[in-house]
Amino acid sequence: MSLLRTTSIRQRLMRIAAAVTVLTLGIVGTLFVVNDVRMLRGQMVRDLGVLSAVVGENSLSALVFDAPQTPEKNLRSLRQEPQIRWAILYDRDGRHFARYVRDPGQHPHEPVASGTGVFLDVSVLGLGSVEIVRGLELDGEPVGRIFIHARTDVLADQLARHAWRVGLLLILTLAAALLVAARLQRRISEPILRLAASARTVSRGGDYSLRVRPTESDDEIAVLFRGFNAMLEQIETRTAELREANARLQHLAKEISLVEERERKRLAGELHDSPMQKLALAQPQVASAARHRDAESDQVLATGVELLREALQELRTLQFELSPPLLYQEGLGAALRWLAAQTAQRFGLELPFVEVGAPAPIGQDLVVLLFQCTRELVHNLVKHSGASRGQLELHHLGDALRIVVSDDGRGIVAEGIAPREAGEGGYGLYSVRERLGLWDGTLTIDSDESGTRATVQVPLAPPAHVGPAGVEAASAVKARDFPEVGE
Amino acid sequence: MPPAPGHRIGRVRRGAQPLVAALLLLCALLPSPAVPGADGEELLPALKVAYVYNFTRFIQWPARAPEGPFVICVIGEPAMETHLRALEREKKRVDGRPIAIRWLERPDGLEACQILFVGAAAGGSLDTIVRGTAGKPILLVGDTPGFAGRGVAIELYRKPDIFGTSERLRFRIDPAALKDRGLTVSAQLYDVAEVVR
Repeated sequence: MSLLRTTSIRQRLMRIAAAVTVLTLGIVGTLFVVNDVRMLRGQMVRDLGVLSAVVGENSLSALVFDAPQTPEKNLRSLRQEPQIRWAILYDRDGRHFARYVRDPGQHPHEPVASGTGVFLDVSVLGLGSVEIVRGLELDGEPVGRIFIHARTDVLADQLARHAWRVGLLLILTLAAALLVAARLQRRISEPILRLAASARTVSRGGDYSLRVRPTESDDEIAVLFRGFNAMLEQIETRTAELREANARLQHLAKEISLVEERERKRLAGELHDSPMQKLALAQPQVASAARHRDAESDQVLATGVELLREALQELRTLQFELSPPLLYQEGLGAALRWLAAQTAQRFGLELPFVEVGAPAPIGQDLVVLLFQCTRELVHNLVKHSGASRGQLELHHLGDALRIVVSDDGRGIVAEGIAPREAGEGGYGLYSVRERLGLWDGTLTIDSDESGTRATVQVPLAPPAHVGPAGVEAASAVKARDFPEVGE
Repeated sequence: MPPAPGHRIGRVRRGAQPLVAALLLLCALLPSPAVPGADGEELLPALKVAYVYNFTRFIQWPARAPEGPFVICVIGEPAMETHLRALEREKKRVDGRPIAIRWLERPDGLEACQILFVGAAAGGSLDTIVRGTAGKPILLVGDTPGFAGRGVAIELYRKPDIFGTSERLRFRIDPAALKDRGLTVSAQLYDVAEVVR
């Protein structure tokens, strides 16, 4: 078997064909020889039986009328059968009446078996001797017996000739079978060898655009070819998708860093333009008032205190925008309600908040994730929809949460849902979908001329690849990133 | 019971054969008539009866033969009576018919016979017998030299062996006599008989 493992499929097929041919012909040849031995032996026994009957019947009158010359003449006719070595005719009392011995130097023996019948000495392949003893009767009365002894040498000669013929036939058939097998095996081995070569090329070069030319047949090999090509196609497609996803991720990372930078810039501007200006104005006024304490200075102090209060209020708003403390203190519902109210106030948009169902305990990570996603959707609504009215809904579904952001704007085209390859923006919905995907959540966008409806649905149970430990760790980090700011 | 067929008349005992054969080879060179022994003479009638009975196994009578027993008639041979009666007693049958023996004093009523044994004592009536049975399915058997050829179908005779020490009972067949009486004989019977031309 180890030899078979190292040989090519072509040689294996040839060897299998040769082995099957030799085995089949060997079995058939052996069966033929054995059957022929049985047949020849049976034929010989039948022939001897007929001869004994003919000679015996023709000797009845000689036995009855005591004329041994006639049966001796009859027995001599057995000389035509070389396998018969001797024959003895017995009278009714068992005495020799007439006999024939082929070889005069031979001493015939009496029958091996007592009584009448056939005795076969067939120790080796049915070869040996055959003895036939036949009782002779006339009108139902026994008048004698005839005994014929024959060797099966003739049978052995026939067997030897037959074995030679079978051997020759075996060689010729084997040669013919190998000749035919050499031609036919190509139909099986050639496509497999071609497939193996293609597989080698693919594995070495990594060229998944390669395809194997399909066979003309529609058998298992054709199925194998189609499967191989389909596998290459899938690998090629997935490789392209992975390459594209990698490119998007790289672009997304770049975009995120840009957004972060812009946001920092905006925050710095906001801080500079309003709270810091107010604090700068408040500082000399408070200092001057402190130096010249009178009615006028009280007025200045009051103005400075007002400026300080406004600056503190603006700083708090800025903090809420970055990460509302409500999210950690009162949960998702309160944070979303604040988001709706804050958006409505800031952008002059009607955006009522609706909460449906009984709230269930939600992991902090999921709360942060959902708030960020919802804020992204609301920002999209404000920036792109041109709507005058919208609605924010939070549905507690028991084992899942659903958030719906809807508006009466102009809607978005289908390609607007997918991220753009380059340029600013367009990654909002894509990043929402990607982040939700980490939690086995989904984002569904239904949009037409009458408006847009974005639906987020997330199971409450964390997915297997996140795990509770990961959730807690993430929650701890988030809590540290957004410390509570006092009044 | 009749003796076994094939029984030799005056056969030399088996154990003494080599010595006797050597002596007789010498004697054979001299003219010496075959002299049957006393026991052979006693066996002869029984042997003849056995032969007559065995003839029925190789000869076929025409189908028109009358139903009833197979009748063996004897005329002029009183020595065979005992052995012929034995055939009756042993209820031997020929073609399924029981054997009946008839002892004839004169050649009358021969039509009832299927076999008629004509002994030497009836030699004078042979012509009458032959005429009376002509064309009838009656097998005529005799043991008198010269009967075959005179109308008797089978004639028994004694033949000495080459050494002259023993004799065998043999028979001659006259095919014409058989054909005249519509009897069919097996070829095997001719193999062991002398045929009268």
